[in-house]
Amino acid sequence: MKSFYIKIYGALLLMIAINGAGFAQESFKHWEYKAFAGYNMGGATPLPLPAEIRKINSWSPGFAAALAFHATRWITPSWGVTSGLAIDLKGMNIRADVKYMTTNLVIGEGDNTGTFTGMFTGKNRTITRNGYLVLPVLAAYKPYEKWTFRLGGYLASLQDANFAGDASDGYIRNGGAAGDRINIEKATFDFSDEVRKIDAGLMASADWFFTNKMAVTGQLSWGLVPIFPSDFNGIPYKMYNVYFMTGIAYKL
Amino acid sequence: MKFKLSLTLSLCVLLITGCIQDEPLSPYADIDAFSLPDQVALGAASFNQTNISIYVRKGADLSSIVPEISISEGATIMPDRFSPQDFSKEVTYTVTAADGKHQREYSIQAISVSQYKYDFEYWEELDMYGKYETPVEYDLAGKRTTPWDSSNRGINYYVSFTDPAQFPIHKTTASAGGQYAAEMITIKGPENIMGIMYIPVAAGSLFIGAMNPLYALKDPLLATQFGQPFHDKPLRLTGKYKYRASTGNYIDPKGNVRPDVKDSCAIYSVFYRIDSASMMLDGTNILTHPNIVSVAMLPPGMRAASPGTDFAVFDIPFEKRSNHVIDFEKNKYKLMIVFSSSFYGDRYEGAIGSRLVVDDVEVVIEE
Repeated sequence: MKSFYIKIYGALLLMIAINGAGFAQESFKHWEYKAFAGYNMGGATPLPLPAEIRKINSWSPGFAAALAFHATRWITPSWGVTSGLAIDLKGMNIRADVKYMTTNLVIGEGDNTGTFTGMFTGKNRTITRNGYLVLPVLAAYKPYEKWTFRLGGYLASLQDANFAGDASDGYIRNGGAAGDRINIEKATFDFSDEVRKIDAGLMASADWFFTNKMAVTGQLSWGLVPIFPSDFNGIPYKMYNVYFMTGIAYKL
Repeated sequence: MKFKLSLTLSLCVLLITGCIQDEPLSPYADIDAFSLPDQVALGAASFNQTNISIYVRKGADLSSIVPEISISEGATIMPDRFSPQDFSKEVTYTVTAADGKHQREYSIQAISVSQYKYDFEYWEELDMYGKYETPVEYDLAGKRTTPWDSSNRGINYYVSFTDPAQFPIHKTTASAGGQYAAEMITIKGPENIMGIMYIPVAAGSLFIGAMNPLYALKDPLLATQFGQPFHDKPLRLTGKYKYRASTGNYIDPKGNVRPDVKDSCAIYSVFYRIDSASMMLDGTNILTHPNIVSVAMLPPGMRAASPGTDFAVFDIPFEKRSNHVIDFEKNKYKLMIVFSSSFYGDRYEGAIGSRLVVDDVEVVIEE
């Protein structure tokens, strides 16, 4: 799978180079390289918020660092194509009050595996920390010397997953709304193994160069692929990675 | 910078919170409480899933009684809960949730005659979310009653069995009399349940009473609520049984193998005085509570295996456990019976494969 990405990446860079070669040489720098470090804020979120979520009690991004390398091929002085590679930690800690939330929890292992199905009302805490290797493909636009804007998409490969939490201070109706009402003081869940291995979506970013070499970067990545596969039914709604990264970039 | 970050964070929370939708309509369609007027009722109603039993005075006129019913918020009930019903027959209520989608159908049984004989001829699926069966009884007046509950109910929370015979308690045609007997087998448990409980072994246990699911995950011993009203003095517990302890490993509640321990079965009955109509003994105190009047317990020598190869008869006297003098004028009493394929199954220990079959059970009373 990884070699597949590398091939795509190589092909893209080649395309950029060939396209660039077709243009008349002008007095501008064709290749620009940039490294940046940032911090992801956002969440794996259902959009719009489903009615099951009654109240968000707290949210924090946790340790969600991003490290990236971008290569931009400027085709004209103000238009170019950017690609690169990034290591993105996308995570959040969220506490919410939920009502009538349908869940399926796998219990036990091997022959012994069973499913606890029910409708939960109470408090939910979810901690996610998913590490992705991200390949962006972006159109770059530089209207002013100090500003660069980019818009495009990304493809990400999950390297490390953590999606776990607990349900507490509530009750679950076993089977569904008409099932036995069972009090839950605190029950844990871990869906880490279920997180989808790929993510893809839209990406938009802005760089503002405050020196010749250094820029402040803001980058929105908006996942279009639900983070859990369609046959996963631990959570009754689809969730998407929606993150905004702020960081400092350095032109190499 | 700190301030800025926290401002951004609160803005984010505000933004997300702004999108909170209207509260969904309740999907619950429960009868939360049911009672009949004191002139006819002998005690509190007992709930076994959607079967509600209530003991009534012998000879009371039940033909037109207005019950007291409370239901889930926003739900509706048919027939109207304030209209009189004929409780000399089984009465069915249908509750529809506020969301209009979910429904539960409740059966009300007003019971006027005590039951002494249990032959496990009738089995029903009492749980709309489970394929397991529970024995139901027909009393001397021909009324269907639901005195039994079993460990199937808790096991059904996490298994997806599609055949009633896969559950640890099921009917068997290898009976001592009639068509069916009750068979109980100790099975492997699910082990870790959501970080709350550890269940290495699940015994087949059948008992008079009902599980209270509220405590099922917190304290399973509290969840098993034993007994039903009983208006006679029990003298002996009799019946037929066949028991073979598994030759496999005995597993303790932590999941460790205990080579020094052999499995045994449980067959006993407890007769106790109640302080209030709703009082129930549970797994924590069923053999120790001071209100216990008498106990009939299968002797240790008969617990490890039933004598012979076929059904063996048990005939166990109720032995006094206190100096209490039984007086049905002054006091009210309950009686429970339990059968289990592993004696300590309630503590999640036993040997997988231990098998108990029970049939033709009778509580012999003082005439």
